[in-house]
Amino acid sequence: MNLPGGSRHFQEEFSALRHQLLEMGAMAEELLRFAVEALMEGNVEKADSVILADRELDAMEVEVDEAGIHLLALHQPFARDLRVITMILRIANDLERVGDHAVNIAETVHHLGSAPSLLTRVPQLEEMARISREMLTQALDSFVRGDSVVAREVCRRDDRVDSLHESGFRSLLKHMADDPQLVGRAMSLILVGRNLERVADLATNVAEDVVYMVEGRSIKHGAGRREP
Amino acid sequence: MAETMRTQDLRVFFGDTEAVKGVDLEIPAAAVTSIIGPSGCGKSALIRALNRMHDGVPGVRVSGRIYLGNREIHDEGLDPVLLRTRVGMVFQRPNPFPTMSIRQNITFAPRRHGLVQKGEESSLVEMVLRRTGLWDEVKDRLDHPAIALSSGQQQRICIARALAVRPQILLMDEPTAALDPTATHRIEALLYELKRDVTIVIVTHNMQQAARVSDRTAFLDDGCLVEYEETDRLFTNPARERTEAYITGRFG
Repeated sequence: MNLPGGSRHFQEEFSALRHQLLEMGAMAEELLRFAVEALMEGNVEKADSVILADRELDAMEVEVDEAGIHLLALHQPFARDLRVITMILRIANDLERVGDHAVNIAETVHHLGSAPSLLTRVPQLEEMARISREMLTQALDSFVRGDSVVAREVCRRDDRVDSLHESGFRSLLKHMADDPQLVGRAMSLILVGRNLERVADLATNVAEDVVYMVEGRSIKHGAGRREP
Repeated sequence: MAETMRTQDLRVFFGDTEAVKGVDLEIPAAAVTSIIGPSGCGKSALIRALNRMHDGVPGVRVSGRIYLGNREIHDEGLDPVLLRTRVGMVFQRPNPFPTMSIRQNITFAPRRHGLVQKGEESSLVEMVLRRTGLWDEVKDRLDHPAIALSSGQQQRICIARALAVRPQILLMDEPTAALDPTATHRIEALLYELKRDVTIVIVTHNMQQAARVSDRTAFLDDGCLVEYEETDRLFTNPARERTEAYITGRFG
């Protein structure tokens, strides 16, 4: 009889996979933090370090994929084990994309140069950056603790980021209209806003996956998100 | 035609030991229902009760009700031998009649029950061998002993033999436990084909097999029905802790 959860072999590989995902999570959080700092400080070297480090995150995703597929193929797990492994595969993909958005943000530092004065006039962006980072951290915590209550809270916070995005976008349009010289830099910041909004979406995806992992039901696309 | 089966407070006693402890199970028609659970949980005792195989076995007592469609199978008017043509059984080890040819294995029961005219025997043999995917493999040696076939083919002969009396239900007690992976795959594919016309109940130790072949799964532990659900749900998100522990291997 095949008993995946009961074998020590499975347990060791399973906990190694979880560990790999958490390393990815820490890395994605770091990239995002560095990208936002580089932007705020107009620090080009810091921005370049994000672009370089993202390759490592990409490589980690490939490793998680391989380890996850290996566990599915060789141990054919069921129930919670199955849900955790399949969600780890999805979360790894989300984290890799968080890294891509961090890179996009870092790349705008070059366009903005070291005069990010416009940024201080759009406080929505800094607020979005703060909430998106918190959402990502909270989503990863909910994974570690298997806590679907916290995960649902992350999902609810996404609305706030969306409305900040909307208002920041309008504010930047207005700056462009008022001063055509700002068009290039304002466009860059619109892209920053777009990237931060996507990070919040990805943190929401991670949180939704945690709810599925814990409760075995999908809350994607608004289904059952408001419950418990 | 496929039929439903239903048990009500089914109990099976081996002497003083209660092996099945009051199981209520509704088996849908034209679907595969699998019964899983640890060794000694009462799976085989349960499935054997469904066509009265415990009848006359010393020290074994069965109580409760079992319905085939609307008919209680212990009804006085129902001959257990006739019941077993409606509710067929396939066992773990392939057991073709050892002295008979392939053809005789298949025609024996229908002939005995008067279910086939002499002139129709050949077409019956061809029909059930085609349904079990054996026709092309054995059509040139129908009069050879069935026992000379490979064990996977022998098991399919046993299924063909069971189908020859046009059962409504087919019970299978670990039908692939003694087969290699290729033969196992063939039997599993066959179940998928057969379930349109025959209700299938399969006992299996192999959870992956239950997950692959069945529409509903019953988890039995210590003689009790712990959980009975759609297979998809039971293996991704079981409702009971005990089921979760068993299917993820964290049992006991």
